[in-house]
Amino acid sequence: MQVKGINWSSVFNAGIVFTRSLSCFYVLGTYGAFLSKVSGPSMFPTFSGQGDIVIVEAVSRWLGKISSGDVVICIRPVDPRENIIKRVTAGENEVVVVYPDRDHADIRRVVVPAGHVWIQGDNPTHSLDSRQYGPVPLALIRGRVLLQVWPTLKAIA
Amino acid sequence: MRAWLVDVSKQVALTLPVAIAFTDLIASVVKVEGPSMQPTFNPDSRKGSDWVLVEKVSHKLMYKYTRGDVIVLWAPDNPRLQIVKRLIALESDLVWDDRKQSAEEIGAGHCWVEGDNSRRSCDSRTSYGPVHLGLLEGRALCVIWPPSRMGWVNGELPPGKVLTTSKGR
Repeated sequence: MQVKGINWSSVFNAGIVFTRSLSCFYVLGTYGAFLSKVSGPSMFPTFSGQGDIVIVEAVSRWLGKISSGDVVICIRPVDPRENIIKRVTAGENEVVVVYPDRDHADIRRVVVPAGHVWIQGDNPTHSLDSRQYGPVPLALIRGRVLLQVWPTLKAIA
Repeated sequence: MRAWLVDVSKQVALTLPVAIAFTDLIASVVKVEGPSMQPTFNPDSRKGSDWVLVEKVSHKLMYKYTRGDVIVLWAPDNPRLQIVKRLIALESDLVWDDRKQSAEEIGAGHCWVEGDNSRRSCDSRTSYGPVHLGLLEGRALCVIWPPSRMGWVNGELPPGKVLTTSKGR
């Protein structure tokens, strides 16, 4: 009678392949590019918010080349476990004029501090953004949206 | 010779991503510069800088933050600079700001950080205010160099800073 034990060397090899693939995936997404799904109405009409798929590049973020007009994926300022998609509307040292909303009665003038950006949704009436939580550190930005690939193929500028 | 070169570059290409992912998400070693964390780090500025082991799993993979821990985070005003501070308060805590001589409640997704050397530290009291949790990179565990300074980092919360705490995260 033969008893077949676990072949530890093949388990070990599979572990190595798994670790390497996972690491490549991480490095590509952090320093290269990644795919992301857009949900929610805050970027309408640029995105429908019903499962749009976009290609995001994560290179500009490390080169310090994020500027006004860019659509970015960013760690949600009020919860580090979530990501949001917004448009950068002002860079550091620029002045933003914010109109009154339900939390603020007066027109405010905000100077964006060093190392921060001002982000807003393209759909201002349905967006929670810098108007509520203020300027966001550049270190929270994960990447710049290049292309929408679903439902239509279009460049994002 | 050529086969050897191909072999070496293949090994590097396979190993480099693992090394990068490990130092980004699991643990890394950083050199602590400046006097802001004295006496915990660099107690004698003339004797050079401490090298510290930083554990990243709890912040970057588990989103678990503990008051009193010495932490490494991205400077809120500079996306290329990492700084070392002590984590004082978490969201919904009431923290005592001894500069303003007033209490401040920490907003959602934020924390309060201070240097141990309060006279020479740029931190939540002096410049940043509450800091985004998404900027936190990891916890300093121990000093590993120079040999005379080897030892665990204490994770004690200085008394009197946090007036009321919310539930721990």
